[in-house]
Amino acid sequence: MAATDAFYRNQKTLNIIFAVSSIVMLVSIVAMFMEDYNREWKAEQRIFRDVEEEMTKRAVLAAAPSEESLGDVIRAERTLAEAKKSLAEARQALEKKYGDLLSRKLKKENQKATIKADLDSITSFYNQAAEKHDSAAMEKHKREVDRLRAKFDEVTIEFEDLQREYDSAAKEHQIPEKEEEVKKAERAHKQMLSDFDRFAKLASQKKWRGWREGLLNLPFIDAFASPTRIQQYTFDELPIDYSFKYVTRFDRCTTCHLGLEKLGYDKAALRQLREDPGQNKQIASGFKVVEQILKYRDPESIEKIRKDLERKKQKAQSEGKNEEAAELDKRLSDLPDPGSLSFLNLNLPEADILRPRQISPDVLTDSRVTQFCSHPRQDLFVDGNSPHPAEKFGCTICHSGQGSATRFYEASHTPNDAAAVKRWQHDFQWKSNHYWDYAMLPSRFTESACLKCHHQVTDLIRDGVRNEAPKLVQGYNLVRDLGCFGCHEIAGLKSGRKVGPDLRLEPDPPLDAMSPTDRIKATGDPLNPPGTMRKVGPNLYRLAEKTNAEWVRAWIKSPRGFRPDTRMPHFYMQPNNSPENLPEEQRKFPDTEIHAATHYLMEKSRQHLAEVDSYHTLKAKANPSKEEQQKLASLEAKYEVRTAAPSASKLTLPEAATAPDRGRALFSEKGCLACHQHDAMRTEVRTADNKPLPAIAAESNFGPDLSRLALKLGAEFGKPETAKKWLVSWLLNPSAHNPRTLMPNVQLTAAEANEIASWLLAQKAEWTPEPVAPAEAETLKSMAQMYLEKLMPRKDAKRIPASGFTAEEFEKLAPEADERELGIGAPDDSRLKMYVGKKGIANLGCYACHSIPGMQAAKPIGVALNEWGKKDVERIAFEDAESFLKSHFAVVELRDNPKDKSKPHEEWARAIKAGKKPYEQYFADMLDHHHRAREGFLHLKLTEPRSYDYNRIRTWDERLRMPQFKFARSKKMKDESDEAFAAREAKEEAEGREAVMTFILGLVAESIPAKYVYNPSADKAAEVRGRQVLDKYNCAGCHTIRPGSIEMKLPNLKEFDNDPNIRKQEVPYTGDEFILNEHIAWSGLSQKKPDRWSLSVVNPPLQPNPEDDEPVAGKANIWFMEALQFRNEGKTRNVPAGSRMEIDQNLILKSYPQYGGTFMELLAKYLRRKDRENYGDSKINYAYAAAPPTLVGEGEKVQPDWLYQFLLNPYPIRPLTVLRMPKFNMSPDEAMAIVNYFNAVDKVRNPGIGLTYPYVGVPQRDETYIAAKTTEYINRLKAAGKYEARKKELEPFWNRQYQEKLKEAEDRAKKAAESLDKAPETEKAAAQQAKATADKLLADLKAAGVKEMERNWEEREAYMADASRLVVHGNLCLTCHQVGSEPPKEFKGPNLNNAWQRMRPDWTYRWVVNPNRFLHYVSVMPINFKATGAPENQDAFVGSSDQQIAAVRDFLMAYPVIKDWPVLRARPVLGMGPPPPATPAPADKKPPKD
Amino acid sequence: MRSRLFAYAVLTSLIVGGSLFAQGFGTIKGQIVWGEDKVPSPRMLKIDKDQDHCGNGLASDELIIDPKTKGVKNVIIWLDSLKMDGVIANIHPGLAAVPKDKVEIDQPQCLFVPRITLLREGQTLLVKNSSPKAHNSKILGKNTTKNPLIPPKGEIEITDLKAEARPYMLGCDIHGWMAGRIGVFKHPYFALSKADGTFEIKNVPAGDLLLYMQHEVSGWVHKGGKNGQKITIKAGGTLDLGKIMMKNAD
Repeated sequence: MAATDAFYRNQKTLNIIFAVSSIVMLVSIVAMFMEDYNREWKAEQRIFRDVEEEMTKRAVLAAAPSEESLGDVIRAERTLAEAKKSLAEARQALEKKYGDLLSRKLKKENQKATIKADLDSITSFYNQAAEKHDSAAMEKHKREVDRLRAKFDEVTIEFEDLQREYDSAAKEHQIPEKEEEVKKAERAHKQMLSDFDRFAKLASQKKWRGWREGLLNLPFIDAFASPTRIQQYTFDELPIDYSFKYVTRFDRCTTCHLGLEKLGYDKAALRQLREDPGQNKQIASGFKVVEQILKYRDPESIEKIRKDLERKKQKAQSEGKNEEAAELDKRLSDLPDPGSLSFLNLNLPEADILRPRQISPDVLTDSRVTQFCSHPRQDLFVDGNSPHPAEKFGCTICHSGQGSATRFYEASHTPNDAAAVKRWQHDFQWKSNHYWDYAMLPSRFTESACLKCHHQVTDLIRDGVRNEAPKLVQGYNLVRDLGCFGCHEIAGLKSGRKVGPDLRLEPDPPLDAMSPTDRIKATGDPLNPPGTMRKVGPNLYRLAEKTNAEWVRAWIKSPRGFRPDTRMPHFYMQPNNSPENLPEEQRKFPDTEIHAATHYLMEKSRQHLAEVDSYHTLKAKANPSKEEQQKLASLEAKYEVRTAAPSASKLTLPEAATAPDRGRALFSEKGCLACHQHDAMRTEVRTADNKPLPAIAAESNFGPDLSRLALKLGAEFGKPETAKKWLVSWLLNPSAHNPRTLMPNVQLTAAEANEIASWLLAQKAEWTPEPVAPAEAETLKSMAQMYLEKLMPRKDAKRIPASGFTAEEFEKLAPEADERELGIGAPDDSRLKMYVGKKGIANLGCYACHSIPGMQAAKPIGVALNEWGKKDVERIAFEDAESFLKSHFAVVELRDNPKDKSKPHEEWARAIKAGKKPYEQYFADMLDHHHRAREGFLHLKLTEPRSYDYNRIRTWDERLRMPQFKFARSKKMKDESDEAFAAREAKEEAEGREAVMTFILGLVAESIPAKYVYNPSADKAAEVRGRQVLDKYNCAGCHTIRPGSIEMKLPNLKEFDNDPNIRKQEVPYTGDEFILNEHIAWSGLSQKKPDRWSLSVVNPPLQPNPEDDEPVAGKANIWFMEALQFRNEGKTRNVPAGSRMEIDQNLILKSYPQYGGTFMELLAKYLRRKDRENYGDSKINYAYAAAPPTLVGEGEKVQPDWLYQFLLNPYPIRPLTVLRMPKFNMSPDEAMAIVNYFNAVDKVRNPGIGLTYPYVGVPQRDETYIAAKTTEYINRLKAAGKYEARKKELEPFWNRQYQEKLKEAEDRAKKAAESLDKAPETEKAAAQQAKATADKLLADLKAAGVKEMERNWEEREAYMADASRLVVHGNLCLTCHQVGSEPPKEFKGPNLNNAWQRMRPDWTYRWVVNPNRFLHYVSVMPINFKATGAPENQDAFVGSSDQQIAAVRDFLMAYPVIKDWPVLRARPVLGMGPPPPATPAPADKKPPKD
Repeated sequence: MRSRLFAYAVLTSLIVGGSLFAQGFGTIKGQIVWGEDKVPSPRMLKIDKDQDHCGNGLASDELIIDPKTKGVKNVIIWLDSLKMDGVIANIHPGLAAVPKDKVEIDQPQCLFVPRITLLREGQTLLVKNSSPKAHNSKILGKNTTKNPLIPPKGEIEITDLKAEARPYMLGCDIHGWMAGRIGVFKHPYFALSKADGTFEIKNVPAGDLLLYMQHEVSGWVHKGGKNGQKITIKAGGTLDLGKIMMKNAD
């Protein structure tokens, strides 16, 4: 084609296309910008800006001084302005007089600084050169340094001259004084107004101000430098696991949750912004003050005020109102000088900017309040000083969800209940985000995230009582108590790393029972250490002597039918195995299986008991034959036989008669109710002589409820008396029956055990056993056939149940095969039952909780739960869940009443009233086939575990096997209707279930980098470990272990300070005791937060009068277990431990209950009622002294090695207690863990005392210590003028002793002389030698005379001798304690002869100072040494009270070293009647060994 | 149930004008008598130590009944405001000041003498021990407890006992049978019944008040237990409660 100049395309068309595309592009750009401008988070940030502004204004109001103090504020302001003005004027005057003196001085100072800088830099060059040994450079720099130094010196001198000149000039103009005045005024000003000024400035900055910001925020422009922007945290070290790759975590949550880190942005404060501030009187009056202050800072308005006042004054004067005029004059003179105001230089905004405005409720909706509020637990999370600062942990590591998202939907928010689902669907068009695997945890399961890093779980309980994850801890405790880990592995280990809690079963036999070599083998692999959990159910080896088959059958069929709060789950009568739901051929299977299993258990148990008895018989045999020895060895090899006592039938019962009164009293007092309950104890009874045996409202369910015990025990059903021997032998030593039982040996005598057993067995109870149909041979056979079919051809399987194995077939069976139970030849009913029973037990996994003979090696039957929390929903079999739900439950929208979460929702209660089982909509939705979630599966699994194969055709042994557990132990309250109780019970059950879910959902086995995992200090770790052991043995059932804690608002300090309990920290203190400032009982630690107090408290003790136990309405009784320190009017105050106060209930913000002590309280209450004369009225403290002692402060009290021994082998210590420390079935490691717990706790709790563990030094037993103290004491004796008298007093004793020794030496010399005479020639030399020695001894003794003893007393004995005298002073320790061989007037306190090995020395001193500081009741021991007044007991020991206390302590601690010193008995015991005979008995017949 | 007789005197004379105080003051009096037929003989104490000093035949002095009038000694009677805060407004000027003299308790022979001691808050309590044996004087209150050992011939001054809603319990741990009460009040309106059971409190501000009567053995003697018994004092009048019956506690 020829070339043309025509355009290739039509220009017009092109123009149109260009125009159109330009327009389209413009439109799309506009749309793009619009879209960007309207992004969700931007809109939120714009709204938040307003919120922030208003919040700061409110802060200004809060910080503004009160209307009453406005005068002070203005005066302070004026003083400051004037002080500043006066200073400036003085400086001006100085300048005027001395010209440029100041500027010359400053110039010189500058010059000096410049030269110094040069000098330093050249010096460093020189040093570098010196380092390189570069002598040329060194010389060059050295010259320069010398030059500069000379110049520096010269300038310095000049500067100093100027400085001096200036100083004197300044002094002349009083500048230093004026500077001081300004400082003072500034301080006063700051105290009143610093917060106000700060917030006022902030508020003006937050204002959306001027055109610049407005412009930048406009649509379009905001794309370039917007004031709104995405905020994010980046975590390279805490990545997200995308299965194949770890990806950096970005958390952008704070882009919308803008108030998260801000203080004071709580929901209530935000909600208040929606109210009209004009309507709020407080705001209005507050703002008036703000306006006033600002007005007084503005020269113009002051001028206006001045004019106004002057006009008024003139008017008053003209009217002759002189008083008014004077008043106005005063006000005029109070006005600041506008000229001086410029010196304040505060640069504050105008009042109008600070005027509070309302934010429309349509903008600040409830959802936005939640969105903008600060994190509710800033003390734990987010805040930089908290343990989990946001910049280190971010948000999604705990909450999950998609952190990088900036849209509500994409962030995978998860609603918390069905009502929230509805609300969110409406407000945010919420739907679940299928594209993100880890949806945000709903708040009901948030705590499960703690498990990622807190593998011990109990480490979430801070300070021993502050349970920060109550639901998770509850779930953990339920899993632990119900024994879920028996079937489901919860290992917490992944390739040797800890990734979660470790709850694995212990090896069988346990480590303690293994030989040392086996133990080393078992613990050898650090990547796979042995488990530690005991099986939770009782050991069934000795079932046959404890109970009978009839009871066992009824129990297995319906455990809760017998004991409603049992932990044993239900295996039968479940949706998939109730006869009515089973196919015809399986209908008889359940009862037959129960029969067979019972038969198996009883039979095996009988065999075991026979073995045990033969083992004991053989062991007792003097000359066993070889076969007998072999048999003994084979029995010895069996752990269960070796550790067992002979069967109970061998026991001889005490012959003494029993009485119900005594049995019941012993049951009440010996501590049984610390773990058990008994219905008979709920009502008071009277003894035969009409004295009360009070009720004890024990609610512990650590051990089983014993109300129906009599129905259960006994070899014959319905004849409890046949169980007496068993029960007595069980009470006397439970671990002989079950070597792993948690029931301790409560140290009863046989007679006491007999009394208790008789009483327990005489208690009647009602119970209708669940009927179990007898096992028919045909059913047994068909069940056997069913099992055999899995192993062999059908034909054989059919034949064997009828005709049995041939000998040949039997021979071929594996040695452990269950089929061996069938034996050779046609099996009888018994053998069939043994086989079917064993199969049934194995199928149901009974051995997961019980030790069962023949089942030691069986493997757990459940699915491992190690990573269940992130199990893929696709891998979960929901099967028939949805339809089961529809046919079995009433779905209700909410469980909790929104108004009061502790109560069930009306709808929930209604469903129960209608006889339906309520099911929360929230979980029902998660079973819907569109929205299946693992939470949904888990919830139904825990509710009805057998629901998933409901109505399915399956063989008997293939049906789902998980039994149904009960998680709550609800008790009906007094005055509660049946319906209300049922609704509450179902709610509590649902809460328990949810707690278990929280735990299981937390099992995600995520490998969190080590630095994020909770890694406690050694002390904290000891605390965590110890707590687990304490929980395991229910130590808290009896003892108070940790005080509770309350957080309270500050009371009115003026009033509070008046309380007589408050010590006005004076040192030395002039009161009735010494103040030991290092100890937390006397001097509290400083409070962490300025606006609240955190106190360590316990339940206040019972009152002398039971009527006063209840606190006054609106008041709370607190008993301090640690001192509270606070400041009032610049002075430090202490409320010491042991004080009791009544404070206003509404001051308490939060309270955490104490750990333990329930039984202590119950027993004290019981004793007070039972025996008023000895435990009532003013002797109520004896009731406490009779109860288990408190263990608060046990670590600082006792020596660790003593406690360790005591835990393993307790012995009686306190004469006043009515019960004894039981002996637990505890391993040495566990005892050590408890010892470390107490020490670690006290070391951390009480830092001032410098506690050491595991070792403790006792210097008092050191000779040098004793010698030093003696020297000091002799000097004191001399100073007191008692030295000679003491010596005189001792002289007869020394003489007597000297005579005795002399006689001894003379006898010896005489004997030596005689034997020399008689000695044959060959032994003459030796005899000669002996005589020489004896003679020399005699001569030495004669030479030394009494002087030697005197010297010994003066250098070594005097101190301890008098200390001993003080201790045995009849009016002091000996009143209640035994010391040496001196019996006390009354045995009330522990024997002090053992104090040296039991008590820590420092504690002993503190205890004697004031025992009440350590207890939560008034000690039985009085304060024996007064801090004021003349010291007493000088006839026993010369010294001040604190020296006497120290002497008592030193004597007790040194006791084993000094107890045999004759001088201790040289002087009579004071105040105890006549002196002892001249030759006293030895101090202690059985001295404790070192 | 206890049955009590209350005779309320009808007050006829009212001082109209001429009174020094607009408020007015009245008197309250009565007599506490043993309400059971049988007058119990004193309980013998079990003296299990220091018999050389305390002897063996010590009888309890917790319940002292006058055989003639059947009046009961040592009942503590006190008043409280309706707010139950222990504060009574308008105290008579003559009684306003807290007495300077010390209140003494001694323990000459293993009993507290006097057994019952009443004092004003701020008044000094002197606990003496004139015996040759040590005693610990345990003072047990709701919010304050003291437990000092008082050596033979020793004494101790207590100045900071605060008023409490109920008298303090007094006891000795060394000699378990020793017991007593100490009442501490913020106002002067308290009394101890005399040997014939009579008592009188004068110059009580007119108006509604709460009356409390307590005895160690019987507990509350008045009606209303810990909530007190409401009474009305008329200015210038005397409220005579007449004979008030007291019985053993159950």
